[in-house]
Amino acid sequence: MSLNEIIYKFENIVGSSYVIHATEDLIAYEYDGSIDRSLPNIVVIPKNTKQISEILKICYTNQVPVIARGAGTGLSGGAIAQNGGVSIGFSRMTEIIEIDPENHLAIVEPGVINSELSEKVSEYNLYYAPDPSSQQVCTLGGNIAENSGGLHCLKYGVTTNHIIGMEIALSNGDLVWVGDKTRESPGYDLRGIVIGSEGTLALATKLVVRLLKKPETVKTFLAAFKSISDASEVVSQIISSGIIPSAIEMMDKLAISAVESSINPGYPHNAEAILLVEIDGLHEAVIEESKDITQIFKQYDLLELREAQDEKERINLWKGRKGVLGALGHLAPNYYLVDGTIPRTKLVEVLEKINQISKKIKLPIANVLHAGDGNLHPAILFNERNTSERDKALEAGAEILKICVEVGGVLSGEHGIGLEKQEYMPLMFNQSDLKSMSNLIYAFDSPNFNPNKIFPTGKKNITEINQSGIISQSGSEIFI
Amino acid sequence: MSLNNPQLQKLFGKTGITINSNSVSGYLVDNQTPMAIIYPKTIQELSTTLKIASENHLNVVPSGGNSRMNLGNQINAIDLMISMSNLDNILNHNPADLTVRVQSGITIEKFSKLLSQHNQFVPIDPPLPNIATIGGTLAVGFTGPLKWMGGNLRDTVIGMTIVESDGTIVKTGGNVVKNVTGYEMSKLHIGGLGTLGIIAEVAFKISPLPHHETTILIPVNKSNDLSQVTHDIFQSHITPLSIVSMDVSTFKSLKIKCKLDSKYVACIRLGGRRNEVQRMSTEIKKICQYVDDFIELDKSNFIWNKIANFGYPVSPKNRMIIRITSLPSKTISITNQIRKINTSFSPVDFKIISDHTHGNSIILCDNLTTSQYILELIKEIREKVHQYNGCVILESIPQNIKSQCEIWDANPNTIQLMGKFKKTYDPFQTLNPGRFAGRI
Repeated sequence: MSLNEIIYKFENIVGSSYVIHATEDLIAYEYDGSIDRSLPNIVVIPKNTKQISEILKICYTNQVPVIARGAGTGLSGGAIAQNGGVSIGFSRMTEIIEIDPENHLAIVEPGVINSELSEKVSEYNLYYAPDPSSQQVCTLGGNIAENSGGLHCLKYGVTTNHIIGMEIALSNGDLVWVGDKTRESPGYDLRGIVIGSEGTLALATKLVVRLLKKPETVKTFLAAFKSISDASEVVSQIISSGIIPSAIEMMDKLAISAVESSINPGYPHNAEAILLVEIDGLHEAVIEESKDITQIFKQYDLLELREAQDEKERINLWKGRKGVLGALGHLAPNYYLVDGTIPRTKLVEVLEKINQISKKIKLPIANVLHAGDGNLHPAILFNERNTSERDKALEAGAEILKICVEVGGVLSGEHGIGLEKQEYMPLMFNQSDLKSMSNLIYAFDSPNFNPNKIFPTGKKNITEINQSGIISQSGSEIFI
Repeated sequence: MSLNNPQLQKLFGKTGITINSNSVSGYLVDNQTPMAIIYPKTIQELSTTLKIASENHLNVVPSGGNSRMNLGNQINAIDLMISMSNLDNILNHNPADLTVRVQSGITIEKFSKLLSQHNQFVPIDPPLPNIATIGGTLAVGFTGPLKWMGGNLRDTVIGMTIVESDGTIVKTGGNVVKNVTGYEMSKLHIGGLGTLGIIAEVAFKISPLPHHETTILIPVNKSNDLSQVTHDIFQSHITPLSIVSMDVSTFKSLKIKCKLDSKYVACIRLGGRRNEVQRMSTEIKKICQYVDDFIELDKSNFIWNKIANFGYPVSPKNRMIIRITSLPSKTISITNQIRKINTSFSPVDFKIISDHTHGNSIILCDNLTTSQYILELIKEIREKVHQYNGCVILESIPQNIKSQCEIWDANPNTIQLMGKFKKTYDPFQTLNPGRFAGRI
């Protein structure tokens, strides 16, 4: 079938207004949160599951690549149509189909914006826990593709812990339920397999999400440290003391100076590192845990310990953290953002190594961490026009990822593999591991779903990878 | 099966792997005896065993503590049983990181004991923890009423090593708590009943043990009150570790030394800081103003052990254990409907424990008589449960009716898709052939 014939068929399914194929119109769909660019041949925006099923049947018959697209905020090139093909946009599938407050559930379409769900269920004193920094714009379908976490996933878990069932569309257009409204549905956990599979196995078309009761009390602390190693030690101490805060976030001096010069949330300028620690739960538990955490803080020579006195102050403290990547633009034209997770007890060691790398390459590295999870986000600052700086940044990023794996960590804590890290996969997995994973594509019969991502192509040496996918120009629309 | 016993001995004799074909009679699976039991001591030996098995088209049953071996459809054939009992080491426990990696043959009891020495735990409470293993429990996919933050068993696993049906050793996940590197293959094996591979090692994220625990028993006389109590607590600010209910005859059958004069009882397990637990206890009493009397027990582990062991060991043989999953709000209605079932043969003596956090119920029926009676009973239970969009799993049923029943309720479309996974990961039907949902 020719491209024009496919376009014609799609127009019959969704109407011509929702089929985009002129190059000038496709440009809006050539990117995501990374800097990779590639035009799909067609963008089609279905309104419902039936339309998705019909679209997929055509793509399957014609072996056309299918790339699902939520809000395009992903950071690993997951929504990039690097081989062209059909990009399916979910921006019209935004219905909250059912809210079941009695069972703490909702059934939603995948185009629903993450934060909108929490807003809609707020009247029942419920919320949806995974809260990626992009939650004001990112979609739940996109969250499923990347198994998104968020600032509060330390205590409450990531997307896979909060989606209990899904209707999925297979590559041939068949619709299947994996999981349902009950918490323990029978059979292989295909729900768990599809979540985090970056759109390579199936497309989620309806989601059953688990909702949590809003915590009764929330307390947020800002602690400012004279050294980043003190801050790292405190993270380990809090976790090993048996307290699981809802969030422990860390920013180093460079990151602090970036947000202070733009967002100005009132972080101490002279701190080498700050921690934002939030605890929540029943009032009695929060009071006791606050005392214990304060005791831990007091063992260190802090520059400042501040507790948010009201919701306004709390929001302000988080505002700096949430806007940090956009703020890096005040320090350098470009950054190379690394995403890796390490065992939490290795924070001091790894941050010191990152510091040494920064000195070696003579480029500043701003550290922003979901410290409680051991999820690092070093941002190597450089100017892309300076080729030498760019190369050094790339090499440093690779070195940091290798360090993460060497200390028992992993290649990605939350951004996914996508195009960005596919060549790094052999650092963690051998051929057997990768083959077992790629067998899922055969089991799902989905070679045309987001093809040539996640798995190493084998064409490139790791040191020569074109990592444009992880280099971003600083701007306000990027979130970690 | 393409080999006889001497050939088998010869094959494994070369490998140095422990093989026992003398005392196999106690290891029945669906009334079939394995030709031999293999005891690998390393993952490499496990891999070699499966390689030999698949190359020779032998049918294999993986075995943990054999505590729930009754679960599953009638197996097509069995040649070998692989016991994981020698793979029971703790590989890496890092208390400060709240992670642990163990070999899958470790018993729940040994595992829990290790963690409790560091005031830590994993919410995993299957029946018979002294013999049930980590691998077996994960393969079955469900445990008891203990819940942590409302999560599932699968939420605790962060990594795995699996040996696939052809002996390939595969690693998935890692030892850190946040990871999106590649597909989460462990999900295929949690609840997969060892039909796609054998779980060899598991990494868990662990949680701090609650500082203090208490249990509140709430006796009520009306089913409506029971429904109200469990509903109101589920909806309140507090998040108990467990919310279960049962009728008094079920409670008495647990042989808990506690006198109850009511018709029903709700058991609420609370955990946390001492002040927090006290507050929760006060909240419950406020919520349940219509209840006259509460029983509060500080040392209550014995109650929860008995509840977790409900129905186990499966003896006498004419016992049936049925697991129902439904929405929490439908649990009481379903159990009320089931209690009303009267077969054409005789009234049924049900014992039922319901978990109101996840909406599960375990039904225990003893003194079952004829096959026809049991089949009629199962049919009636399924009808009632399906009216409320619930699901039935026949966790343990008498052997003589197995071939006439499907153990799991599952959607035909999903079964068809699951069949593709079996074909992909176990093309020669080496592992537990025919035992899984849809006789996969």
